[in-house]
Amino acid sequence: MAASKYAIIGCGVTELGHVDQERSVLQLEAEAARLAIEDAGLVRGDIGVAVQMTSDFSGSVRTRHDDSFARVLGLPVNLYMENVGRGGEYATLAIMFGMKALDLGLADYVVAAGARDDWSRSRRVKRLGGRGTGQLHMPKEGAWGKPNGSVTAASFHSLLATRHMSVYGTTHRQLGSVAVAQRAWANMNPQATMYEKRLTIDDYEAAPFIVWPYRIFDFSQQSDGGVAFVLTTADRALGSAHPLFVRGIGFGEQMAEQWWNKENYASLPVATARDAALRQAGIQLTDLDFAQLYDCFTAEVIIQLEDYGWCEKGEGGAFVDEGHTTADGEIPVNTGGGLLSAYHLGNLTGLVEAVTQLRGEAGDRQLPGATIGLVSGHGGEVVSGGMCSIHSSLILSNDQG
Amino acid sequence: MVSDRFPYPKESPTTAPFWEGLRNEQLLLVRCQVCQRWYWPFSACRADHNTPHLENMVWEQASGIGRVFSFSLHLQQFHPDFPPPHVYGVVELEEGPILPTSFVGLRGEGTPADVGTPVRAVFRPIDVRLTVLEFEVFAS
Repeated sequence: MAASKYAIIGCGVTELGHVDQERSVLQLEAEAARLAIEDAGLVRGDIGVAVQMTSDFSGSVRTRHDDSFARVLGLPVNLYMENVGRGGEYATLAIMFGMKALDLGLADYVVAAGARDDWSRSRRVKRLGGRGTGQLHMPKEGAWGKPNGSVTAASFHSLLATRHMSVYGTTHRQLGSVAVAQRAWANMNPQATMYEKRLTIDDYEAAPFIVWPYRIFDFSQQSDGGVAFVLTTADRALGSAHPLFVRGIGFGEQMAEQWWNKENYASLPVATARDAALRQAGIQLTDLDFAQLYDCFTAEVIIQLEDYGWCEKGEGGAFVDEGHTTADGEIPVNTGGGLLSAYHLGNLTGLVEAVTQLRGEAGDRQLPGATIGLVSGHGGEVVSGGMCSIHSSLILSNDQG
Repeated sequence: MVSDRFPYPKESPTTAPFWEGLRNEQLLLVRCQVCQRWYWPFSACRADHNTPHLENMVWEQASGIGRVFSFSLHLQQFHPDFPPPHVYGVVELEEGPILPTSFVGLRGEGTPADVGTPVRAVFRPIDVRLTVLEFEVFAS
């Protein structure tokens, strides 16, 4: 396989999680971008293209704003691309867009920034007497499923868990083992919202159901924060402190086959995404040192472990329950705690953890010698929540390949 | 009576026939006039027939019979119009398509064994704008 032609040379992360802050999404994007440019050893004048990572779900309240972080920061861009993303998949689409901009010589350096204010926005709603916004899936107007009471993200994400339990016999305990395994990673990550909160399987099983089959520990965090990265060509990256080479990207859509075969609740469109990324990278699945798997809820982790091929279809629950996703396991998964226990910034959460591991900056949770790893993305359903999603695979490495 | 926060659907020209069907207490699905296969929501037929595919697709009344494909049981209240216990889910219709809906009459505690339960369509008029489609358990 050809060597990678693109690398991330800077990453910027604002305060994350349950942050007592009044900044808007726009301000968080700008701050993250500023930090990323600084981390890359660049100045604002070096940036030629800017990409905003965000997405509107069907009817979601996640609003787009009228201004641009690129204008706010004074970036001399030739192009600002807004609203790149499908649900929780932002990073890989933004990287693909940036790759093309670099190919065309539109920029020497591309900055991509994404931010969310879900936690502080939910708190504002609660202060006004509302129940909070869940994961902000309660739309101003209905779409398919809304008049029937799809009232929070768990309403439809839990349908994957129910279906998987029915078809493959996955148990509540196995769902809980995902939450417990990731909490153990979060307990080693000072940036994780759940850093200081332990979770045992007994804690999990004692918790009441909120939206059966899901308990609070099956839900992801609600977070504020912004993440940005700077992408450039590999030759420009060779002089930078710690380039992270983009070794492969790929995508899959349920609308291709799984939707029509009604496999869309117990399987995810991983295969084409995985195959493209591995082929570009010139590696096998077993060469990956870690997997940051999109974990908006616990069932998605189980399904991805199966569909990537780390275990047989239907065996994902047992795979986690038996400890295969821990530091000593076959594939360390969500090594910072993930969306479940660290913070929820779509698949920027996984990207930041991948960068942290590859740079050797993961402290207590550092995987020794981590060289190459996977970040996945998910979401952006069409038709109705949970029904017809995208999947993405991104392989990053310290080696150019 | 529903609250002023009730989540009315966003109707578009593509979806309007479905919602109008519900107001008439009819469950309409899209059917290929060439091969009779059923779809939801509006889709072109999966088989390769003579073009124009989209004009072969017509909304027709379905039986309303199906099975629980998946479900979620809300045990806490998230919205004034959906007090617990509320069951959201997906129904698999005997014609083939699956669609999001809510269920009435499932057992109060969740159990995966409820997947596959036979159900039939019931229509719940809200107001002049909307009739909600739900599925209730019945002995097949």
